[in-house]
Amino acid sequence: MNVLGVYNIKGGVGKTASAVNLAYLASLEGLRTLVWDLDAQGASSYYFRIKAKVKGGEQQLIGKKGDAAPHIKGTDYEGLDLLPADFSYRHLDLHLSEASRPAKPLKKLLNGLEDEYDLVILDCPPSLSLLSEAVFECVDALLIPTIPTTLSLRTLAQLVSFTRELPRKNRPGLWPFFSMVDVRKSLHRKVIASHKQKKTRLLGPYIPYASDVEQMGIQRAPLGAYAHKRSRAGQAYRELWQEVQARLREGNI
Amino acid sequence: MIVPQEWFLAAGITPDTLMEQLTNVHLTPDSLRTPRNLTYYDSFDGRLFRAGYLLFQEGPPVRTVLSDLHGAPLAESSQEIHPGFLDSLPEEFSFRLAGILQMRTLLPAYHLTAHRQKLALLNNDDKTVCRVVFQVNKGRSDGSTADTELPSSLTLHPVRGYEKQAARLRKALVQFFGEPNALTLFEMLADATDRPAGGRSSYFKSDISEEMNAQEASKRLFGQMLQVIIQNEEGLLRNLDSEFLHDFRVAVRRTRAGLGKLRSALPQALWAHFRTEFSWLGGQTSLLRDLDVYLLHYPVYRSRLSEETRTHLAPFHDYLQRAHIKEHRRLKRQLKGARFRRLKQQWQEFLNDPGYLEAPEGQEPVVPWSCRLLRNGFQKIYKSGSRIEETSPPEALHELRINFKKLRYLVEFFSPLFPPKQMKKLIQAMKQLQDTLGSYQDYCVQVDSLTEFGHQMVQEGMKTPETLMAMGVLVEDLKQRQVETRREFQARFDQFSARETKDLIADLFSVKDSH
Repeated sequence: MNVLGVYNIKGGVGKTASAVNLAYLASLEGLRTLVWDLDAQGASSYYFRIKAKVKGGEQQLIGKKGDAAPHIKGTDYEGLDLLPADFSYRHLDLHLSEASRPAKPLKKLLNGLEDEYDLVILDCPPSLSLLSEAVFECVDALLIPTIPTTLSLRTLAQLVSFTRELPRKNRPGLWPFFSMVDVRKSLHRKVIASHKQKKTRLLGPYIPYASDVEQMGIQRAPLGAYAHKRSRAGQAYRELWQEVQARLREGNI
Repeated sequence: MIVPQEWFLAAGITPDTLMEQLTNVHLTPDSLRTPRNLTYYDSFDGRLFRAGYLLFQEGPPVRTVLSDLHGAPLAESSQEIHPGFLDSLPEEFSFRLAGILQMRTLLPAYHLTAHRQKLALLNNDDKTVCRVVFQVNKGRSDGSTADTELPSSLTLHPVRGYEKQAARLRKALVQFFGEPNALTLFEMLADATDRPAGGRSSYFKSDISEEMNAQEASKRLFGQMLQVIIQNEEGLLRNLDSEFLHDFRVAVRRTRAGLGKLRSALPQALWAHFRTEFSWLGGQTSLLRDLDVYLLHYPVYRSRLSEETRTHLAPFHDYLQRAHIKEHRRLKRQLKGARFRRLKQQWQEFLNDPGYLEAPEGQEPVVPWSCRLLRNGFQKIYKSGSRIEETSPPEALHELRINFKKLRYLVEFFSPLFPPKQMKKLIQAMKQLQDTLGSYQDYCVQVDSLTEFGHQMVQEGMKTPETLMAMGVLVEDLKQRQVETRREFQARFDQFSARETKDLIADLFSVKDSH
């Protein structure tokens, strides 16, 4: 089972859209896929039309006898399930701080899913916290949607530095990609053209800023489920997924 | 694992009428009506079904599924797979099926042509909380040309996490259609065709009865064996897997043993003719079976050699494959030829003739007749077996093996006439000795054959002495095993000669009054 986190310290960069769309594409390929909505806002739960509610809240889930399986819901798409968000996830850091290692409860829950899923995608909240550190330790790689602006790249560099401080065995692969790219903006074009992040492993395809992605909130469905097959954003996500899949297959973390 | 539940519907029900009639649940179309074609695969003798599995390919788009008998998936793949031998399947399938399929190949068994429409039960958020799949079905067994109409099916597919909603929908369906069917769609399909779900087994189970006379019982037995010969013929001609030839040969061997042991029930002139013809037929298949066995054993041979030596064995494998192709072609010509055709036809005519034909003991009631044959058979075995000593030549054990095998067949022929528990005990007691005799024979034959193969390979121009050396190592290993098995024989024979077994035989086959 592979575990990917979709993460950025900054909000509004396309994390949830990316998590949902990549998970959908994975399920179409026959991978048994789970999205875990870790963000108390419950955006990916909303997209899948699933109530952001976990019985007993984060205490029940993360507790000693916690088990993810009873809380998982099937989405409308074959082979794609969701572990919903819950508003109590805003207290996750508190609980994780009580554990001997913050990552331990998360790892235990993920280990329990190994036989059921080929891929788990964590839709992470925007923050740098105990939860994010726990996520870093649990995932094979972090997908980092990044808007091509100076400040976003600065944040990315901070994240890279931060992860370098982690013990080697806890360091996730870092897979940033450009998201919400508006090619009409010269800044975006310049940043993409001149990008030279030597120490990160930027994914090739970028996701354009597109109204059909924004429609996800109206349609409440993954982009691939409603967009026209010639949708540029749809095509971009498909190319992104192919590159992610290739890296996973080759163990190219 | 969420298990779908299935109903079969009366003619005339469509998705539209279903949605109209289920007034207390609101179902909406979840997909367009789409074609689905399924092909079920199994071995000729239905090994997967009998082990509780179904393997099918469905599409479009094509995916291969291994499921339980209710269709609940255990493994799936959307890779391109052409089901055949075990190595044609991906790991997630083959690890479950290795001990079941063994050397048999998967063959298409049934084809289902369906049109499917999904209906969804939605909640207030328009989220699908349960699905129902309505499917119009028709199907046929592989090789048939015409489809048979089957009842339309309705399958309930719960969505994970929405069990209450699934229970509500199930209740509505039960109210309307009754409980889900006990039979699955696969079983319905199998029942509607001429191919049984469990395949065509070559397992011999005598069904003679004590009301028959000796000739009637003999004809019945030979008829069963002829069926096995015929049903394996096509697979043998097409060289689908090695078991077709094996089962064909076993049926021929049983027939020949029957012709030897049941002679007194048959008209003598006919007996002599068919004895000659079946002897010819048995001889035709020997070499090909030997080659099959060596090819099947090849991985074992390799494993008995050191890593360095085994690399030189490949030319031997190539030789076996070439010889196999040539010999199969030759056998195919014989089986398609007039002599075999005539044999089948004439034998079938004799077996189907309900009239009695004059024979020395043909009218004798089968029970006392069979008792006498079995008593005599066991006496002969004990006499010849007790004469075998450490210094007796290998031929003495071979002869004992042949006679013992014929006796075993005789026991199987007549087993319905005697108490089942005691017969089972007797067959078990016979099996151990038979296995030892069989192993010894196998090692002797392999030693000779490998030596002969080596000569032939040299004659054909093979120039790698390392290959001959590797085969030489194998021959020495086989000789050693031959010696060890020979040592085992005495203990096994003594076991078989124990008072308990002799008393069992005497008790079962004591002189019985004629009815």
